[in-house]
Amino acid sequence: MANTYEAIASTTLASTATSITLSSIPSTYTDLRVVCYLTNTLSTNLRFTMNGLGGTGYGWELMSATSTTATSANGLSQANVTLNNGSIVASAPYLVTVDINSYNTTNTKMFLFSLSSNGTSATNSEVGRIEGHNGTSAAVSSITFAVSTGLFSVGSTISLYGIKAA
Amino acid sequence: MATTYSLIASSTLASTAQTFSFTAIPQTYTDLCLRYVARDNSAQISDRLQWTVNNDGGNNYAYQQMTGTGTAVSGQSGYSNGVLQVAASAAGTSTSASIYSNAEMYFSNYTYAGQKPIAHFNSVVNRSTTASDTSIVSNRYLVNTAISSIQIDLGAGNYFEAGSSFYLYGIKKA
Repeated sequence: MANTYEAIASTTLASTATSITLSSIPSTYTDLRVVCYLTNTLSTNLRFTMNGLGGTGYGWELMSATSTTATSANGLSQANVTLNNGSIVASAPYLVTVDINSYNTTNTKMFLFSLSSNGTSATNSEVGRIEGHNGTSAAVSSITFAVSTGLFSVGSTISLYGIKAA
Repeated sequence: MATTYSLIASSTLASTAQTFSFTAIPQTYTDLCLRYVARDNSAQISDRLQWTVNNDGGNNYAYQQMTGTGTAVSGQSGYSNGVLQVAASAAGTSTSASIYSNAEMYFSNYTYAGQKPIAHFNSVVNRSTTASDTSIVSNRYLVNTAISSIQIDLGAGNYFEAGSSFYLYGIKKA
């Protein structure tokens, strides 16, 4: 049986930055999984884009919980996919995984995000699932994570894996 | 291209067991993924399993959880908690005998001692006749040490049913 789930690329910040990009994603897989281990210098929102696209091509739907409250929100005609409700706090690590199925077809690109962040108390943590999409027919060839305020800290890492169907 | 997602260890219980653990976890991967199906003798639809790492029973865990029961969704959180916790992580005896949970626990950066590892868990238990219980949980180990073992102890009189299965995978980045 052919091996699958291959490590494609990884980048770790040696200095602080407002964004992290993985580019030149090969089109030879069926699906992609991205695993992000991040810390930030300020409390922030996390934003995602693909292929350097801005404009109003993104939509997203979020369900998340902070403390005892569970919420749902959405955005249409957006310039990016927003991944949280601003509850990520400075210096606390957070984990984001992204599943991008059929990333090299001409169909609308769909993204499933899982976000976990534990802050410094029981009231500033967040867990959520986010659906994001962009209607472009282009294959996903690069992805970018950016913060609304502050900087990604040194050591923040994004890793990309490729999954191939039989 | 290097292949990753390697099986480190697995176990399917042939008989009931009060405890389960993965020990001597190799420190050669980037992330860990624990996938399991579980059923225990709790008299409820779904049980909230309470895991620990490194045999650390201190108040060294934080969690943020979201649970759904088919009719309601809610949040729960804790800090300086005594366990890694995940709701709806094992089926109980109030479900049909063939019902087991379906769960995944993902530990990122588990060898990194300078910053605390974080994990997110997904779990579901079907109720057989009505809706299912589901949870997603963010957990963090509040101690600056690498994770070398993962364990669970259901306590006296409580046990996993035979057929509960646990698979631990190592994932290495490029």
